[in-house]
Amino acid sequence: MKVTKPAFTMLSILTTASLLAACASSPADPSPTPASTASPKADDMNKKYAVKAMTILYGNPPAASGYGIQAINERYNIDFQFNSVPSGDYNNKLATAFASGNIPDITLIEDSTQTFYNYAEAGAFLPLEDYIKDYPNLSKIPQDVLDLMTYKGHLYGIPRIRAASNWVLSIRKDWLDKLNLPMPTTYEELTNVMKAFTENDPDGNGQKDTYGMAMSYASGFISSVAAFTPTKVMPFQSWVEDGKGGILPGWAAPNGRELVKLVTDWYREGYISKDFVLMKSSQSEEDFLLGKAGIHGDFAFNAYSPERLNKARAANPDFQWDVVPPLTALDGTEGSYSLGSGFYGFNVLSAKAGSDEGKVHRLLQILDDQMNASGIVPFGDGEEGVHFTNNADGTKSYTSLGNSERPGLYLLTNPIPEGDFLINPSLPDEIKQIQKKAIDTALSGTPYKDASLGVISKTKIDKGEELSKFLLDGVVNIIVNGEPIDNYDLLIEEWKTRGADQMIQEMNESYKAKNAK
Amino acid sequence: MEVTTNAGDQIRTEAHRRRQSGFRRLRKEKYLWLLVLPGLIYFAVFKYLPMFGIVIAFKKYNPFTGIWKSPWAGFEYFQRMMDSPDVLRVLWNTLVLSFYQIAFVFFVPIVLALMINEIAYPWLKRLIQTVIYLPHFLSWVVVAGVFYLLFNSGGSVTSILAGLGYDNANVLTDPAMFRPLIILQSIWKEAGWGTILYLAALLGVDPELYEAAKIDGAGRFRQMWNISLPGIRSTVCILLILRMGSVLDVGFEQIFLMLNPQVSQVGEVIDTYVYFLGIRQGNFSFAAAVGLTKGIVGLLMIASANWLTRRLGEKGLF
Repeated sequence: MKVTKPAFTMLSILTTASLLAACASSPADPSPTPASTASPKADDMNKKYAVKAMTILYGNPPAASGYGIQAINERYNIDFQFNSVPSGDYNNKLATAFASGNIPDITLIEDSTQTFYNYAEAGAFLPLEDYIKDYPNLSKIPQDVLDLMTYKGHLYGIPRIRAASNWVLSIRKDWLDKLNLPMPTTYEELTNVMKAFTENDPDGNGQKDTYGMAMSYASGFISSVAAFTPTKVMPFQSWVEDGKGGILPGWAAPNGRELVKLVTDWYREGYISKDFVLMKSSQSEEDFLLGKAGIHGDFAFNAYSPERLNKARAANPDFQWDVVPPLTALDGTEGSYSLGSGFYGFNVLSAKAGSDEGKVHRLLQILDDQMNASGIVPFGDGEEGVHFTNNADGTKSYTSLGNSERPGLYLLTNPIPEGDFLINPSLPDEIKQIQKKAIDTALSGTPYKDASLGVISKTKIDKGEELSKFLLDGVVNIIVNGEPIDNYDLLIEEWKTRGADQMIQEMNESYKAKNAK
Repeated sequence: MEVTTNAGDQIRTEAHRRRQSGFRRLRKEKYLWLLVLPGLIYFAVFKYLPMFGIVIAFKKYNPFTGIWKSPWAGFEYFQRMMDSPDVLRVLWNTLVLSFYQIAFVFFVPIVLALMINEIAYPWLKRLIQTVIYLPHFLSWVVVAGVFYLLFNSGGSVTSILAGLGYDNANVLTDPAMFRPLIILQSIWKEAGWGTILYLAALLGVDPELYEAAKIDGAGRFRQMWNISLPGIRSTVCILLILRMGSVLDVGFEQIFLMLNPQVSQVGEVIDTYVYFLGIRQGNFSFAAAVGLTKGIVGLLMIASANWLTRRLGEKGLF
């Protein structure tokens, strides 16, 4: 390709100019009033819109172009740019998009904390409360979930509804049986099982090459969340009730102290990987499936997939898994797994997209269609024979082309799960049974919610990341260096003087104000 | 009296002539200036214009309200920086690492270049040069990945160390090992590439000097000390000054990739901290204030290094 010099100069001038324009533009009005009279039918689909969407990706990305994108473009008369970012990178990419002051038309935000409120305040998002009642599926979203993404009276997000169940702990059933161990019900028993898995050669190959629990820190303790929740310590920034009418971050509660002590023991004895600080959640998952570790935690709704089972069976034909019931909390009280917030991630529409009423309707139409319970997107499976084949038992199998470009891969949201959880009827019975068990176990006892949902503090928005990083880094240091638990008290002390005291006070004020309502 | 008036006139006409000749020169050299123009525009657009963005260090900046509409914060963020225990720590980490890099990394290419220069066979010289340039073309992600594989608890280096009696050597998570590891990586990756300028400077040394020295009975090391080294002294000085300007730049990518919670006490540097504040926490103004301070310190360092070089009798940068 040959670019003539004047053309190139023009191009660079244009690029520069647009860059400058992007820097200077400022959608200032924080709450543009949407014209609520318009109904979805007002959009006659005549105008073609460019639609940019950014969403989180687990697994492999779909093809960047091809049948799926084309089908979506034709159906909605749009030019669809689907940007799916791997989960580990998502928050960085999102932050960069925010920093540019220019977010995609539809953007997924994982959680309603910190930056969300900050940018809602700045008018980055389009208020949606007047629109959603016109859409059959959007209007079915429970109000208490919508409340979590409402700021100063305006609804800014459309949640991806999830089952109430959250994390559960999985264990190698065949290892338990081989070593004649009962299912653990307390942390003490869990520790004994981990010890046996590490020292008593559960895979019977005569080598000491296994360990207790697959745990990874590099993606934020995620694979160990399930092990911590029964004692009411959740990583990230989850808060628990302090028993005195207020709330407290889980790590700073008495149970948090006991947990740090326990995990320090685990690390010293080698019941968790020596590399857990460096490991990512995909690595700890692999350790569990390929028979290096005997215990692993994950979300109840995706812990037991046929893909995982196949992978594990391929490495070890005897592989059997089971769900660990909620352990008794470290302070001796009844333990239970945590409840999800009822959603995982929510889509916001950019305030800029709100300047064109027709575009807003088009965007909402896409989201509404994807929430159709009958089958994700009506045309989502692509063409029979090309993208899928019908099996005799009524289920569908996707071809490899179907797995890379069928329209159903370019999803931004999902239907509201029916009942407690939508178990795919086409799954093998073995998977269906354990999925059912996982969800029942996750909801057994008295499951609890993160107490900080919908609670805001200025200090938390301003310094929350800093504080949480300081605390978690400190906790990891204690665990790995095998420091005495007194150091934990010093850590909490310093964490408080660094601003956590202020944050806890503000959070409690907001929490009480919220409950008084 | 008359003399001074005359002298004043002379200066005035001198200045006048110079100004005139300036315009004439500009006309005469207009094509040269045209050639320079894209470069000037580049610097204006990408280096000078963005400098106005520094203003966000003094504002409560929010990208959606824009730079001008964000309210002023005065020196609030600088005050917060002074109060923050983290800033002092990352500043100290940066300085220590930078000192190590100058003390250990900076001089390796000089030694390497002198050694290569002494090789008698041209083909061997070229071969060695090519081989040691190679790591420069690997990205830091690859280098970090290789180090992770070699040094994790099941890695081959860890196994070798265990064989030598160093059980459970956690090189990647040991705070005491972090800085040596970074220095080692930098040397491995960049030392070869760094020899290019010195080798070029060594080529410029008059061969007659070596012949004369040989006749006077100087050995190899004498020649190196008395001819080669003085020959590249000015290059070393210029590079050292330039290095001083980036004394607080210790390489974001490399450090970011090697960081983990275990080593963050010694490993976090200004760049990674600014990234955390700005991108992760969304605190752009605070990040800008820290970054601006870094820039000012860098300017001071380069000015003082320049002054020092001139005092030592070498030509400075400005």
